[in-house]
Amino acid sequence: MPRIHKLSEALADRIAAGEVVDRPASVVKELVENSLDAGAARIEVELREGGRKLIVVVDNGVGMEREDALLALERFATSKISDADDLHHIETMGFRGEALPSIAAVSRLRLLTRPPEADEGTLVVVEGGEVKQVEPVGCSVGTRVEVADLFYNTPARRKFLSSVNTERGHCHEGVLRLALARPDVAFKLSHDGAVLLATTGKGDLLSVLAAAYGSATARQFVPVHFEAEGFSVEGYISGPRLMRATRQHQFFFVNTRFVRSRSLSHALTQAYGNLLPVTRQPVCALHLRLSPEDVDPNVHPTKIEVRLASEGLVHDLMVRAVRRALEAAGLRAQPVESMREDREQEPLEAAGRYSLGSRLRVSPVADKLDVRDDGIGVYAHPTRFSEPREVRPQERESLRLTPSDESRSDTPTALAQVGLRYIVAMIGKELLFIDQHRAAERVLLEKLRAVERPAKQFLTLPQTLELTPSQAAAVAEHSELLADMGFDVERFGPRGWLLRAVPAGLEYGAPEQALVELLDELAEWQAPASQEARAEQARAMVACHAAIKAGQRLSKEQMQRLVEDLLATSSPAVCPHGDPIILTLSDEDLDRRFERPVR
Amino acid sequence: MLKVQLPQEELHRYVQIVSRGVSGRSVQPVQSNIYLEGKEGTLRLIATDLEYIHIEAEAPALVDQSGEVTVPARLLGEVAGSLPHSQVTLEATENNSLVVTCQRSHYEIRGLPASDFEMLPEVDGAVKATLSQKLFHQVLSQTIFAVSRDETRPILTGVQFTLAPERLDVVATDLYRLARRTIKPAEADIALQIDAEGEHQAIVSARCLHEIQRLLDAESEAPAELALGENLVQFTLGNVKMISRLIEGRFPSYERAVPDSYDKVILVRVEDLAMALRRALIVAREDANRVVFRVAGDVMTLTAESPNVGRAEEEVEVEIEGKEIEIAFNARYVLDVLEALQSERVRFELTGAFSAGAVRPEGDDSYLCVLMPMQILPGTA
Repeated sequence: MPRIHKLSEALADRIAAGEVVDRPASVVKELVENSLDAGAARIEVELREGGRKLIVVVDNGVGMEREDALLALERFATSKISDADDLHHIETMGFRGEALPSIAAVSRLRLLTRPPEADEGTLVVVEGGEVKQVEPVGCSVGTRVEVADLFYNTPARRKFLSSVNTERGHCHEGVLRLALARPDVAFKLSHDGAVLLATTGKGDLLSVLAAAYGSATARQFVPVHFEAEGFSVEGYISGPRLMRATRQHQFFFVNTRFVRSRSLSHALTQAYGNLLPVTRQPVCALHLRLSPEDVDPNVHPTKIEVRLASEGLVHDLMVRAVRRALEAAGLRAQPVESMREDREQEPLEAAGRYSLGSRLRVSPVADKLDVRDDGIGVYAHPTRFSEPREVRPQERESLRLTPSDESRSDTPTALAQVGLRYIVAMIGKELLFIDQHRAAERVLLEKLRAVERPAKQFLTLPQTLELTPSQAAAVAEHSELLADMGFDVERFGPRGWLLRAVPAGLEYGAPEQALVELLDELAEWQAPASQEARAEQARAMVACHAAIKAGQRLSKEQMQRLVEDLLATSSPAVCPHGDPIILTLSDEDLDRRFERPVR
Repeated sequence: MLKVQLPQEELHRYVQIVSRGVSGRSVQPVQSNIYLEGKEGTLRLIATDLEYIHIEAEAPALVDQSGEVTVPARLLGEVAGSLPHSQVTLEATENNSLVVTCQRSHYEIRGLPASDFEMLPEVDGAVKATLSQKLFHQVLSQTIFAVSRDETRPILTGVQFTLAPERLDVVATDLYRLARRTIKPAEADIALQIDAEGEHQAIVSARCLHEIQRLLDAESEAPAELALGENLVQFTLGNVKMISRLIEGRFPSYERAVPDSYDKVILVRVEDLAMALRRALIVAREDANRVVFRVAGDVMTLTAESPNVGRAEEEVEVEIEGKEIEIAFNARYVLDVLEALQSERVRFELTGAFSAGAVRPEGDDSYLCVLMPMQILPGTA
């Protein structure tokens, strides 16, 4: 008996499908891209149970004849590329033409389609890749694809789908990318009957941003128009008040295709220079136009990564484009040393190198340090947010995060703020360099832990909140948690929300902004099962968003208070993410640095 | 070329007053300087951050030659402060330096051309109010504490002044409390003149008002004039003037935050309550300054509790109309109001544990502070 069988066609399809279709969001993306290729001006996406139960994509594009509809369901049939030359001019989106058969192979699919010139449409029903029914049917012009029970015949894959919220989040993000890519097309995304996103299709990118982030937020965007050397950038970047913790809100489009590119993100960071608080990232929606010859998208079937022919040049043009836009908006950026990048690659050295030189190093690893009985300066057990970092042996002698024994009885004195992000303080004979955001985060976290549940502080004038659909969904989903954290948010009219109370003790920051940032994070949060772990993560999130940010000017009193509060916490040395908070420089360290013989 | 003479004490005093206007963050070096101009019997001194603070003084002086120059504020202040108590001569040179001579001391301070110095324009054709420095000082200390520090809401980092023919309203809120002082010209013991038609509103930066407060004499009946222009406000105190840009935007309509009814009134001696709160804060500060106020009979019990620290309980004698009540406030906020009051007793008007409380001096409707409560959690009452 031959040991090797040729796989049946259906099985081959099912395996191949995994390459293109790995979750509801990829189905949505492929179907919507097909709709765009069909010239649709309006595309509606409906999801049920995060798309696991049902995905419906309806467009008003050209539609298909019966034969074309059947052909579309066959593997590698594509109307878009007819000869090899065409591969050099790839400007359509789903050129591989494998999406629909791949989706049909792993779901129960119904396709209704009618071209404008035909009197009637066609219904095709496919189950697990087998065509079960083909018949004429009355329907409107365009195409409607219904994908039910995704992965019903590949249980292993179905098992790996995440929660409804997570899958919904991915779909939402995918549709948002497409809506930002094509402001000229009206998109509507709804989930279990609730509208998550609706754009007008009037071609105005800012109105898409307003639909996604709310119009108050959209007003904080700065326009970008730039053209040079066969390259152009159009779009919007965020002003200094609108920053996010991750690069997730950076949308780059190369010839209307969404791309992820480290090089472009880096260019953005570099252009903002010192306008960007450390640990914050700008938000953007930028359209790059390049000659199609300069782009090779055929790297991966999901086509998120692209290869640019002259990446260095594009990077530099991008920096110029963003700088010019910021300057036009009255924001002059100064370049920052490449510290941000250093930090990502070599966290141990970066903090020291920035201002003090390479000998000053820190590490949050507890058991390698002397533990003292007063609790001050003792490393915390590494938090579960990050792995402990290695300490290289030669670093240990100059590695100190805490005031020494002689000075520990003294009270610290805050001296100055450096670069709007570090506090310099003095205790005994030692200088402390303190990261203001991390310090504030540590202090808040301990306060939140101590009270278990922060009390609500009610507001004289309840504040109306403008929330995006995903933020609003997060309010609904996590209402109990928000209340436990001390926020009182209630529905106000059909679209509005009202903030009535904020957590007591956080009121000196900007609680409204903290809430909005918290909602962004909650929208994507995978809550752990245990009640205690949930509460602890929630506290950490609140502490992070409510804490003083880098870039915030502090008064002497605020600095003094923060330094005292920090040294009174159980672990002043590391922030909840495991990053160092304090660097210490003693007179002896200075002796060494001035190459004076050490006594 | 500028050449003036004036007594050392005068020079030093005015340089100190004006130097407060210098911003440490000026981009243009010339803006870290003091502008000096001698003309018609006065030495005019100006320093400004071109934003919220422009301080200007006119010192009487013997003007030998009129002219102008700018010199670093700190340097001039140090030199002026250390000279002997005698007549000082200031003389500008060709190359923008200032020669300071006093008895046998000679200093030449390098300056920058006066033509580069920028300043805020004078406010004219404005709506005006005049009141005594004493009253103005009181008005500011009753309101400034309620200003927001949240820079993401610039409007609330200022104090709103409303000028109408029959009243001057001064309001501040940081969303946790709201302080309002109303002054009417008709009130007998108060000197207020208003020169305005219709109602005029302006939001003045707290930074500017803090500086004004330093300049005001809390005991003096001398006049303080407030003039509202299009985008600027000007305060005139004798021969010292302060100009500031207004904060742009609309102050929220705060009237809806003022409770229109209440069913309990509590009267308590300001001093007794303040002392008790200061002590309770030792414990309360560990839990966001929360103090629970419980009033039953003629006793108000204050409790603060913190899992890490312990518990505080204080009793204060009160007079109550209406039923007993339990409500929590941030003790710091209550103390801020008490410290701004000048009456013997304070009056609390309350409704329920989640409703705004109104605080007033006993028998005086011109001042009001609205305090929002904190939640009372189970186990802490």
